[in-house]
Amino acid sequence: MRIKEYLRKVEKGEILPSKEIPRIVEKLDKLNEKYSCFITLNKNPRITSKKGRLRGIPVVIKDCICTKGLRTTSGSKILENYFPVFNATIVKRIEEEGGIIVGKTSMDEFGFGTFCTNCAFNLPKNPHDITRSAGGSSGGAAVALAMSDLPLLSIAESTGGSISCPASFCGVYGLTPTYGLVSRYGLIDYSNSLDKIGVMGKSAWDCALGLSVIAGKDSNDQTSIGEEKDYTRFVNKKYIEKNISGKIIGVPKEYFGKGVDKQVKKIVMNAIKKYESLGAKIKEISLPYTKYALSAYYVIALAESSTNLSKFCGLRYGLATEIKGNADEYFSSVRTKGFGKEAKRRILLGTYIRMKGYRNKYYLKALKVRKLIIEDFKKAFEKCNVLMAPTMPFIAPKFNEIKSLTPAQQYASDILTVAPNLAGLPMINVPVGKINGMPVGLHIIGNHFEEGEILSFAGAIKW
Amino acid sequence: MDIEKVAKIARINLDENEKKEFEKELKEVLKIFSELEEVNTTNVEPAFNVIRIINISRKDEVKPSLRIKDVLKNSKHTEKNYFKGPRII
Repeated sequence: MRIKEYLRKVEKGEILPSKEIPRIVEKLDKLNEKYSCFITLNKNPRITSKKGRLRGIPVVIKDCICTKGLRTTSGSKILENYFPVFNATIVKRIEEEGGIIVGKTSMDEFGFGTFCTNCAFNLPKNPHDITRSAGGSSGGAAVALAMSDLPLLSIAESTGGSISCPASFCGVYGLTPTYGLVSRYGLIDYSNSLDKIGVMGKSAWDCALGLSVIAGKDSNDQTSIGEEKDYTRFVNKKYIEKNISGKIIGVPKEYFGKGVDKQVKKIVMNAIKKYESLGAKIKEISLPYTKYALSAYYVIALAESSTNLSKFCGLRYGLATEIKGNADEYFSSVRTKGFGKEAKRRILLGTYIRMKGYRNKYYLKALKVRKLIIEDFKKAFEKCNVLMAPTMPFIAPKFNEIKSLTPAQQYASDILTVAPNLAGLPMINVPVGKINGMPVGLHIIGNHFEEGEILSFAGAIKW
Repeated sequence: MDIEKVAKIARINLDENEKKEFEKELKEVLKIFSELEEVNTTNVEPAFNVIRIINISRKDEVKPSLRIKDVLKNSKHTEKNYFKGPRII
């Protein structure tokens, strides 16, 4: 059942959330055995009778977002027994609108991964083929939607592609908003200047509804500058008809280059051409600094994450061992025990590039390259309304294929998602086709705060 | 690359095998990062943030916060109303 229908039935009294939610949780519990998309399933959710925009809707939340009294691990052993004593702003907003938090979805540790294989707990499996990756880092968030036809809304988070990638691999819609539109208060940070909380759903409308609830300014997050808006009006049929005709779709040639699977290119190009029948025009454009996005992204993300993770030292929360030795010895023993391999790798790299003598060479340089990448996009948006490209260069790889990749090769898989993330642009994955039963995603990227525009394009065609 | 020095600063203990493995992987990644040197960034301002963020200030007023009992809830080492840590001096 779709969320729209569910809401209608709740409204009419045909569905009673107090009876339906326990049934849904039971089904999720069963499905979770096969697909491992939850780290914690909320078996006794607070069922409110609030009559908001999410009245009675079951909502699942990526495990890096704090939920009061409900275990929040960020996919790490170091937070295995962490029970937040407050709600993230977006959780508060969801509950105020009648949404019911039914589970915390699995993820790469602290969001460190493209394939959701760097997990301290459950390793989510792709519902289209359980021998394949769900995509990372919000893997569980996408699997929770793709594994059933339950009317779920899924809250995810992206730093460099962590919403788009799993949405593409699992064949669901995944919206990453403009940096700052959604409050990050209560998010366990990966990289402060890059983290964005977003929405996954089974349609553009679902994403629009979720965004309408979570977007908006928050005095607890100084970087939040979002306006409150009803985004569902942008996916209204009449609005779409009027809106798309005459619009220009920019197709960046660099996103169809070497390394992108031929079949993926073909399916995505055919999808883009369909917008011509709605009156849109296609224009090839160039984003010349694309080549450097991957390095600039990883330098900034790792530098910021290595400082963020310094708070995990066995004092105020998280894993603690017996206090022995001096401060350095104690902190080191907790961190060595609590962090997984990829987290250690990223902390070491991030620490190195911030060290005296290297900071200018890597970190400052990357911030300057980021400026050039943002300008690339700004120039492109002078010539077109949205950009379209493949979301991921290939379909979800098999777990045994991922094992043979080096860390550098794994990082390179983010080639199509890092640049718009680095520029803080809004983007949405739209499932537009399949290769051997595995989903292929179209990426629609908009200018800052143009969520309405990309949602309108995403909702224009039924695939 | 002095992996031991980096690990010390990062407060992570590495065994001999990990040192070798991480050093090799890190070198590979750093080699890729050095491609940034090709880009001419003369007169380019670093983008610490992607959108213009204006400083927000508020009055320094006492407001209700979390209860001390709750704040201490997630810590293993506490004494009275304090967190307990290792010796610093």
